[in-house]
Parts: sequence; C-alpha cells; structure tokens
Amino acid sequence: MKKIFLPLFSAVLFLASCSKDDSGFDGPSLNDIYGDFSILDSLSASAATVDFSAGQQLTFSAEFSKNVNWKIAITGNTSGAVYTIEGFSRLIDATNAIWDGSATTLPMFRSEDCVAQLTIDGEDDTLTAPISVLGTKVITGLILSDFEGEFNPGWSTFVQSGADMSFIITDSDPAAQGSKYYDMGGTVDWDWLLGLIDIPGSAYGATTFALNSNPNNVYFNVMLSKIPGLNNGLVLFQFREDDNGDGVYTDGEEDLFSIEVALNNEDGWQLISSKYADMPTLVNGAPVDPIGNGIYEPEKLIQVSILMLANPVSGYAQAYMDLMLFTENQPFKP
Amino acid sequence: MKKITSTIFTGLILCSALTIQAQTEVKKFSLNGTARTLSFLDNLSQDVEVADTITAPKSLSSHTLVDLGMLIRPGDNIAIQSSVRIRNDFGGFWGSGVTFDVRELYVKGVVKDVVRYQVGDVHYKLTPYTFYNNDSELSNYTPGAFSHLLDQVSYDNFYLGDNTWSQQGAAVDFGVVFNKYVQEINWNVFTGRVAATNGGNQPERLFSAANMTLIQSKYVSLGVNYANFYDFPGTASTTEQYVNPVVTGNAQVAYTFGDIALTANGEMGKSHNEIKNDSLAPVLDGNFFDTKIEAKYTPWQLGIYIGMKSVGADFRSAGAQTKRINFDGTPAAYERITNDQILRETTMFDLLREADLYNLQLQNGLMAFDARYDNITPYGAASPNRQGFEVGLNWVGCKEAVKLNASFLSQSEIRGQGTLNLRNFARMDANATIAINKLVKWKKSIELTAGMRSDNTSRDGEAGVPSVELQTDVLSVGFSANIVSDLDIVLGLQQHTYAGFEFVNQTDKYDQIINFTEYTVDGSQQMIGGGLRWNFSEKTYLMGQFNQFSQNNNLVDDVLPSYTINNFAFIYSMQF
Repeated sequence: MKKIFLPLFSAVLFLASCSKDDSGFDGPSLNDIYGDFSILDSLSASAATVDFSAGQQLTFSAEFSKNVNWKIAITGNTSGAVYTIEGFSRLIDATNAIWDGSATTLPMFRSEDCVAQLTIDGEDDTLTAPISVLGTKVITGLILSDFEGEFNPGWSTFVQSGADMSFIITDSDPAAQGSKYYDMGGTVDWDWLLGLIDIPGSAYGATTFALNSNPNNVYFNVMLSKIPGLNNGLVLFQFREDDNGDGVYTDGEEDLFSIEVALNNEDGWQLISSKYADMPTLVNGAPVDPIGNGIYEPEKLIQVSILMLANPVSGYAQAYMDLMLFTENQPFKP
Repeated sequence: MKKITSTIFTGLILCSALTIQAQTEVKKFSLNGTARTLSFLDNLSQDVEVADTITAPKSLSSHTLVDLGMLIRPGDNIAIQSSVRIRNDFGGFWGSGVTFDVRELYVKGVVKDVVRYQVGDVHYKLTPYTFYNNDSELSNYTPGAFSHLLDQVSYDNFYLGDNTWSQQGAAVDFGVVFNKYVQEINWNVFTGRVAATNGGNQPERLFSAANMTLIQSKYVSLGVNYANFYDFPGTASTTEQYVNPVVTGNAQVAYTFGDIALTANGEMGKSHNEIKNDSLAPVLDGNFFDTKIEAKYTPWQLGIYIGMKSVGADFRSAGAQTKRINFDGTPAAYERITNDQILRETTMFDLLREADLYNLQLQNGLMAFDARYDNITPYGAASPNRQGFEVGLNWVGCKEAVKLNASFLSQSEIRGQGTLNLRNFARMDANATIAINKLVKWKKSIELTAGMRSDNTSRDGEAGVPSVELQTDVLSVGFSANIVSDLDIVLGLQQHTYAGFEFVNQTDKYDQIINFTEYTVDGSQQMIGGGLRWNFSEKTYLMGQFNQFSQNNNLVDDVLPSYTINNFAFIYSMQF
C-alpha cells in the first residue's frame, strides 16, 4: 500500500498543475466601465484616394485604451452624401470599419472629396481623415434610367395642359445619384393625373424586361424626393404583365401590380424599394383582387408606368425622381 | 460468473425497514408522523429619524400541524407509505385557515430478494459533484438554541440531514458479491420528474442518475457516477432541449501504518451543458477534480488532512449546484419597513424560520447567491471557477469531552470575470464542542459549542477598476445544560459581520454574465437568545425561548435602516 500513496499524491499534484486551462474572462470588460479613456492610435484611412468603380474599398483604423461606442461618419463635400459605421470595440480595423462607397442615406456619393469624422460616446475628441473618391461604386441591376443622359426615346409621356407643368430632366437641385434627376410637377385642377411616363420593355431591346422569373428575388427601386412645403404629391408605379404572352397588355384581363408612394413625410430624397412579390393590385389606391392570373411573373413584365398624381383641389404638386432600377436578391443599397 | 456466490442488497435508501421486516414480525399497518405547534411573537424597532407609522411593529403568528403517516405492508416484500399534512393557522377555526396536503407517498419493495425499488417520493443523492443537496449558508454555524427553528424549516423542505434531494420518481438498487478479487459491486439507478410540460416551450424535465460502486476490499473502492438533468424531447411543441449530463469517477484508498490510518479519496469528471436547437445558447463543457488525503493518529484521535481541487468555470451540474436558499425571495415577516416601505432583505433570522425562502426542486443554471453569506462555496463543493487547496485537523480528546475541528482553505478563480485578474479566496473555519459535565465529572449534561468562520475575497484592481475586498465573519456560541429532571436551559449567540466591496454578476437567461453591479456592504447581523426546553422524550419536546435579532447597517447611503426584532418563540415538537 505504501506504493499507492506516492503515485496518488503525485497524480494530485499533476492534476493541480494542469488546472489552469482557461483563458480570457467571462462577461464584459470592467475596464470598459471604469478604465480611463485615451486614444492610442488616431483615425486613419487605408488610402488617401479610392476608386470604388474599380472595386477598391477603404478601411479605417484607430485604437483606444478601452472598448467604447464609436461612430465614423464619412461625408461627401459636394454631394453631402453620408455613410456611417458604428461599433463597440477598442480597435477599429478592417474587421469592423470598411467602406465600399455606399451611402447610408441618400444622396449617393459622387467622385468628390470627402472627410471621415470619428466620434466617441462620452468623449469630446473628434478625429478626422480626408479621403478623395476617384470613382463611385458600380451600380448593378437592370437600370431603367439614372437621368444623367437624354430622355430614353423608347419611353412615352403624357403631360396635362395645366399650369406650371415641368416634366423634365434637370440639375437645378442636388440629385440623389449623379447630378441630374427627373422633375415632375404642375397644377391640374380638374384631374388627379398631372402626367405619366410609359416605359415599355421594348425600350431595352425585348418585349418584356429581362428579369428573374422568381418574384421573391426581384426588387424594384426608385429614388424620390419630396419637395419642402408640398405634401400632396402621389407617385404611382404600375407594372403590367403580359400574362398570355401575346406581346401586348390587355386591360382588364392581365395582371397590373402597383406601388403608390405618398410624398407627405420627410423632405428630401428617399429610396423606395419593393419586392416584386409584395406588390398589390390597386384600384384608386385600395388593394383589390388581381386582374389577371394573379401570379407574379416578373419575366412577363411588359411595361412600367409612372403616374404623377395629386388631388386636384390641393394645388401645385411636385416630386423629383432619380435612379430607377430592378435588382436581384436584395433591395438596392445606395 | 461462477465466482459469484450470492447476491445481496446494498441499497442506499430502503435498507432499514425491510431488513427489520425480514427478521421480526411486523405489523401490516402502522401510523407514524410528526406534530408541532409553532408560535412567534415579534416586535420590530427601527433606527430611523422619523418614526415608521406604516409598519405594524408587533406581529403574531401561530400554527399547528400534523403530518399523519400510514405505513401499510400488504406483503412481505412491499411497503406503502403515505403522509397527509393537516395544518391549522391559529384563528382559523371551523375549517377556515385549515389546509390538507399529501406530504409524502411512495411504494417500496424487493423483487426476488435481489432488487430493491422505490416509486413515488424518493430521497436520493450521489456525490457532491453529481447529485447532492448542499447545506444552506450559515446552517452549520447555528447554535443549538436556534437549531430548533431551523430544524422545522428543514423538515418542511424535506432536507433530511443527509444531503439528499427529495424527488418524485423511481429508484432501483441492487448488488452482487464476489468471493475473490472483488468484494462486491453495487448499482443504483434513479429517475425523477423535475417539471411537467406545458405543451409549448417547456418539455417534460427529468433528472436521472446512476452509480456503480466497486468495493475491491477494505482498502480500495471505485465508483462511476452519471447524472443528467434534461428535457424529454417530443413532450412539447418546442424543439429546444436542455441537457446537462455529468460523468464522474471516484476512488477511495485506505490503509493503516501502525497507529496511523491513512485514507485518500478523490473524484474527477466532466460536464456538458447545452440547449439543443437554440443557436443563441452557449455550449459549456467543464471538468473538475477533487482529492483529499487524510492521516489519523489513532492513539491521540488526531487527524489531519490536505485536499486539492479544481472546478472549471464552465462546470455545470444541476443536481449538485442547486441551492437550498432562494435569494430572490423576500421574507414574509416585515416584508417592507420604514415609511418608504422599503423591501427588507433576507437575514439569517428569516432563514431560521421561513420555509418559503427555500427551494424544493433542482434548478438549471446557477442560482443567485448573497456574497455576504458565502462568496467562496456558494454552490457547495461543485462551485464552479474555483481551484486551490484545503488543510485541516480534527481532534477528540479529554475522554471525548472535547471535539475540535479546524481548517484553512485557499482558492482562486480559474477564469476572471470582467478582468484577467483572478479573485483569491481564503477561509478559516473552526468549531469545538465541549462536554463540560465530562470534564468536571458532572452527571447532568452541560455542553458548550463554539464555531467561527472567517472568509476573505480579494482581487487586484487595475486602471480605474476598483479592487475587490470583502471580509465576512461568522461567530457562533451555544450553551445547553440540564437543570433539573428533563428541563434544559439553552443559550445561543450567532453573529455575522460583513464589510467590503464586490461585484455581483448579472446574467442572462443562458447564465452568461452580461454586466456587473457594484456591491458594497458594511454591517452586521446578530442573534442572541435563550430559553427553556422540556424533553418529554428523545423525540418530543416543548420549548419557549426569547431571541433578539438585530441588523446594523453602517453604510450612510443605505436606504434600509438598522433595526431590531425581539422574538418570543414557542415550540412543541413531536415525532411518533
């Protein structure tokens, strides 16, 4: 038995020596609650210039003495576009601070000089880094128009003969994307319709638009701007399907899905995105049963119509419209 | 199998009654049970500048209850025990205030003189790391004068004094005896229902345990233990399933060198804790070991021991870590005090007499605890995130008139909480029992008991983070003397002081630490009392005692004032 105790005691000591097998700590860092804050490494961008159109990205870096809530706001000097990145960490690096040229809200960035500004919750310090954008991010999807060029000759328009009518491409005010946008406005005191645009699929080389057949994977996106002081604008987007494949849309027999946007909230540009499968059939703004086969068939979309509406007794109405496109799998990210 | 000469029972639960049955003529039907009357008269006084005009200072509560048990033996190898509790709160005559409950119901028996079984209420335990009902905080430092109260609370909660958990389920025990190499092997298997399904998000929750013990000789025994606290899949619409299996192995070696008896024992194992099909729930795998070597010099009846242990931070064992005290509860007596009706904290006075502050069922996750009462072993031996050693001695001398135990424990965390710095824990513990009558050769019993525990928790601070320093001390002194005939006088003092700073973990539903709250204490609790006890028999007594409990808060900004509760208690307790 004497031989048993020595090995046993040795085994105990061995086990004791092996017991420190854990690392790190449980829970949030107490240093984040109590520790003094200091900036160990100031804000810097991975490059002074960046060309997003060439697929480049920009990363930011900074280091603090403890975990903090931080926010980087990148602002375009010309466009006024803003992209924000937020986090809670001690380190800012490529894992949590990458910019691919997107904007958090409209407008989108242009090729312009920008400034990145880092702020920290509870601290007065503000760190900045200059950036020059040489090329904007590539827009992917089926672009109906960004209104940077001439009016598409395949489109057709109808404009009421009201007062102060303006259905034109212009750059009078800042655009949501690029420098130009489409201005729709006027006064029509006898009808809700101010004017409309019909966009047939043929304007893009085929009878129907080249869209994915899965309506859950197709998104329609458009940028609209509410004009300050005007709350009466209604923009109705209509999507006509050629259900029977005869090359034309037949009223009252084939599907007509719609999106109606009332411009009565915040002023300025907003991005409207809608999944194709979520579009209702509307009559006078109210959802009704589908007109045609009731099946969402994006590949049979034959015409998109844009109707600028306003209550005839409400007076002058106006809205701006910019980049209009279909995207796949997800809404457009500006 | 030729070496197996006979089979015997080695069950842990059911031995006594049926063994007696085999040897003597027993009654087919017998009554058993307990009865008691408890009365408390309390008087609260508060140390406040503006007198409390809302809280009634005096409180009276009394009740009588009988646990009437019936033991039925329909056959030689089967017994049925049932117990009905009838309780009447004083003032509830003519049916009002009277409650009837089934307190206990089980069937036990023996199959072919080989397998013992018990179905219904089962009291069961395995090892301190698998299935063990740890003693509640401060209970081991309760002098005899107050233990009469605590005994009633323990009885009400089925804490039988052997660290078993009372469960509802079934247990089976059997064993085989060998004539060579191995003396015997015993098996114990248990399954109990912890919670019933609600059909939705809570499946049937069960606790199962099994043990095999191999006794090689009087020198060596080995054991394998398994416990699992789990949801039974398919019994609710949810697909989530909680599982917490624990597997351990234990061994004991004993040998005697001349006058020195040596024993070494140890247990080691691992646990797994997971909620299946819940992607947000963490998977915790932990392990532990616990060893102890003890040497006893028999001529002096002096024993010394040293133990080492390490319990991983992620070790989870619901059967061993469930606490008796529910620290989220609030006392029923003087629940709110002062004109602001501030919620009164649970004190050691409340823990002595309020059964509802205790927990009856196994719980998953780590229950809340109060660092003032035990910051070192809040979950018993299986307290996770602890490693260190313990040394101690025990001595019986002066013709067994004096019994002394003392120990020192030093532990530290294995993984930090909120910081890489680790907490360090130190505990000094000592208790003595002195039979004065034996020292002075007096016929009547005179006994003095004393106990103390001093705990310290510390952790270094770092830039801006305050250090942890918490000191808690417990002192207990008891005296009992037989005055005349069967009349005893009992006196007791228990004092608990605490001061310092600690962080208290805030956890989410997955038991993960999500924040820390500062915990500053500076105060004390003291209970002093005495009374007279008339012993009708060994199991029946009548006692009247006066106790004064005081809680002092030294923190200036503490909203709860210092206060005192004077208490007169009348206890009549009977077992039959």
